[in-house]
Amino acid sequence: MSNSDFAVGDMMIVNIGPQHPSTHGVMHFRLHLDGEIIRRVDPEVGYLHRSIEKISERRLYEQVPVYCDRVDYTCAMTAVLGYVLSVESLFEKYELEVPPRAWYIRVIVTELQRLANHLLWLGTFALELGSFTGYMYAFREREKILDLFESVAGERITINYPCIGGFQQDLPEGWVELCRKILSEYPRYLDEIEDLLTLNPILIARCKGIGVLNRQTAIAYGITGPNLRATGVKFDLRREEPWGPYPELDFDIPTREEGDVYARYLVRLAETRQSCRIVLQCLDKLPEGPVLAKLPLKKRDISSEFLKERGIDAHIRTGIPRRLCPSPNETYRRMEGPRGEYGVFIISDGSDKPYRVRYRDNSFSSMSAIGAISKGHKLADFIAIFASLDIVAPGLDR
Amino acid sequence: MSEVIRQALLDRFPGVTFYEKAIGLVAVVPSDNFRDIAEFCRDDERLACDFLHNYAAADFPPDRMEVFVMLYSYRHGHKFTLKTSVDRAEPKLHSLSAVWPAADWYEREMFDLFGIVFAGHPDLRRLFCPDYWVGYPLRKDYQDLRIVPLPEVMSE
Amino acid sequence: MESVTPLWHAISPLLNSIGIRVATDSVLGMWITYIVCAGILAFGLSMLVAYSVLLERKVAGFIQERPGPNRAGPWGLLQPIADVAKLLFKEDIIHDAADKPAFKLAPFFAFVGPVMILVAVPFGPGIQMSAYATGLLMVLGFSGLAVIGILTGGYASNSKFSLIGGLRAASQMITYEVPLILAVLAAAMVAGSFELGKIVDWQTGGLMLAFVQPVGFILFLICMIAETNRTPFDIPEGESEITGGYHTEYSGIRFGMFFLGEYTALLSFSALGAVLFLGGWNGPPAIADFTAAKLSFGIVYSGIIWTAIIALMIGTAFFALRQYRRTGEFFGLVIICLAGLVFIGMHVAGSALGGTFLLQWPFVWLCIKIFFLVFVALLFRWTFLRLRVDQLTSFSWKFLFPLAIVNLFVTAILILLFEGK
Repeated sequence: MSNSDFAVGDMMIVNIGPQHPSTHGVMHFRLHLDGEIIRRVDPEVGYLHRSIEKISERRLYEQVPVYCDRVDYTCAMTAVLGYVLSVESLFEKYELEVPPRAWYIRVIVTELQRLANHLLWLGTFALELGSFTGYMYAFREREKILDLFESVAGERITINYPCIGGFQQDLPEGWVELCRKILSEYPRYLDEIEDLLTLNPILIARCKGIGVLNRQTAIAYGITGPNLRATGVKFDLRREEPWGPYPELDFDIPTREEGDVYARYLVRLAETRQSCRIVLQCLDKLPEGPVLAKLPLKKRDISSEFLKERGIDAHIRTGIPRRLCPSPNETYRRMEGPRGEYGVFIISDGSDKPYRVRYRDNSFSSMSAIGAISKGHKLADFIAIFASLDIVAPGLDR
Repeated sequence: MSEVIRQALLDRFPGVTFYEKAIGLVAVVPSDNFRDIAEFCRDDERLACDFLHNYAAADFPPDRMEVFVMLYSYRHGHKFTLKTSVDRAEPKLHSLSAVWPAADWYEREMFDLFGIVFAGHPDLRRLFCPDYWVGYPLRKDYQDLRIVPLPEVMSE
Repeated sequence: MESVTPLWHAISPLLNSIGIRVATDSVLGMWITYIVCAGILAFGLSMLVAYSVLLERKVAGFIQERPGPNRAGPWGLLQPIADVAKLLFKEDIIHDAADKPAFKLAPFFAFVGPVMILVAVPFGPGIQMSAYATGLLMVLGFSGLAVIGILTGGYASNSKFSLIGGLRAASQMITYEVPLILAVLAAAMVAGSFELGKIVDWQTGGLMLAFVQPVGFILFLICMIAETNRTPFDIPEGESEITGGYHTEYSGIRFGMFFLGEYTALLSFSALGAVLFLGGWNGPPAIADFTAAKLSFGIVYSGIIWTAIIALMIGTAFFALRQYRRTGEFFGLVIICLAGLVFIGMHVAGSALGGTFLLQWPFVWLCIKIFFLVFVALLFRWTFLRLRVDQLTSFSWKFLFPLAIVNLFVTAILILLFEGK
């Protein structure tokens, strides 16, 4: 940037971030302001780049999930599950057979994570628009779901519950009833939040017709998830590329035609209701049985040069633990994460560590499009647009 | 489904080869007409890949780097992957940012982490690392001087 | 100073009892009165402001179904003291790029303006620090002083967020000052005086001006919230957009001055509203007073408007019961309605009792009215979202301003028709 830091011509440059109350996580936008009107947006990302992809290349397949939940800490459950599904797809069906109960629990935790994420989004969105009460209401509901997570995984935010082949532990006793109770109450509480916000004239004035994302732009920028569905594309990976029990479940895919901030708001709220339905169905259908598959562990193929170099006697080889070593392959499994397509691209080379891992999160696409969406809007609208796109920095920077 | 894709690509570009792995159908394309093929994938009626859903590179020392372009078509509901290799010593490709705007940031990321130069990219800067960063972190031989490597035996 | 005398009559026995004898109406007496007043104002006001912060947080807690501050002292009653102490002891950072004299002065302007409003407010019959004949004009002038503080603060901080905040504050103040003044002017026309004491006197034993000037009252309420920079009009400090607006760069007690200035402004404007529209220190009037001649012209004007408002309220309540089943907003609505009912009920009950008993404590009545208005502002804050800057200004210029003008003209015509003889 050769421009001066203060102004370009008549335009004032305002830095939103890296320290700013509405950039959750750390992000940085250089806004070129003409009065209050935005003429140009330069997003600067990378403040949260923790090189998880590089770290993943140096860890065993079983160790990587510990880092995955940091890929997107607002929906750690799906972030870990995405990796797990990808690794599982590296094996043949007969090698690794995930038990049906594990599949059902996977759906339950994914949908609960979607609920938690949308409520987090709703809270911060309301806060961005100046409604602290909406924030409090949404977070109150989110806390209940985090409590559920805490009782299954011992963690509230950076959860590490799914593992390759299923789950290490079954659901705790009484969890199903607790979950059913919380979720059957949920629609009533959501009504309460909606009554506060949905028909609020100020919210409508702030959101309707703002940040319109048309269908072509959304597709061209690779935006998926609720942001895409708010433009009228009825595309949901739970329907297009379903896994586990999704084909047997009954749920709707809410869409809106407008593509503005308000449409995104409505789509997300409608999705939480559908998630709630899905979880309740899964709880009813939850089969009994084990939750962990037998993993196809292999003795690592350690060359004799490797041992000779280190002066290790050949007989120690018997003590080397068996590891998960998928055969050389390339995979990309995508799933419908709370904020759109979440997929993990893995190249395996036959060793016990992934050769290359790439996490694809929808925040990346949404962020790259934000300049195109918010041009010509007011500064206050920028915040609303940014909040409505549900961008979180960790998924973007990895 | 995959037959249609194979046929469509082979009709126009006979040099393309195919294989199938867990990722699905992969079309291995030469790097010199990479952009043309990408444009063809977007515009051809049978392919109509309007959605670039992932775009990633991988480093294979000592000679090559591979670039994966994962495409999806909302119209036909099919997906496949374009794969091309670039010379590791001087990695250079044509930018796809004019074909899919989504490619813009993916290419910046690859430039940042792999050092692949995309010709014709409107704004090729580092995406994550600061501008003064030396080296390309996701290359296999990258060594950050600040990282003290664990002894090999311990890390095993 | 004629106006000081009643106050002096209240103070001199106290002084006499501790052995100080000062002649009534002497210059010394006047000055003692002033100093005592200033002391009461400084101490009382700062306590009141601090506790209105607590009230705000408690109301927020109530609306958001959480306890609110409850750790410092019983029910969190010591929380304001802890807050102020914290602000006092925090480091006062003035960064290098700031325009230092202006940076230091700005918080005082922001604080002093609202305080000065209270100088002209009558707290009881004759208890008024200065009863200028043009008291209302003076009050409106001082209310505009706060914006100088905010603008100076925004400029002197040498930060873009502060600058935008300051500019927004300036445009907002200008925008809402106009309908505010027009609304107040209509009230003053009805009462026939610019002196706040006289306006209260007009309402003594008669209708509150809120009933005679319903449109003016509602305009005043909206503009009051806008003038005090509170949600939904808090764009100058819109946290999510421009971090803290004009006070982004301030810390310690200088920030505290802005912060307390905002609450002082809320209290002073509420006091002004209570005096202008809610009958000031008057208790409920006796039933006999309703037949007073003052009522005559009000009936025509307010009759129509109040019918409309009651219809609107019934409509809203109906809609609310259908749509808003069990929500915070609904509770807010219910509370407003209940508070209004209790208020009217107390008037009726007071008049049934002959109006003498409750009239004993004019200051208590004023406080009840002030806190009623403060409470309304708090409910607004915790149930509404923030407007955008252009929506804010266009709401004022395109809706409030024409309404205020029409109200002014209608009032003038009615005065001419009914009292102009």
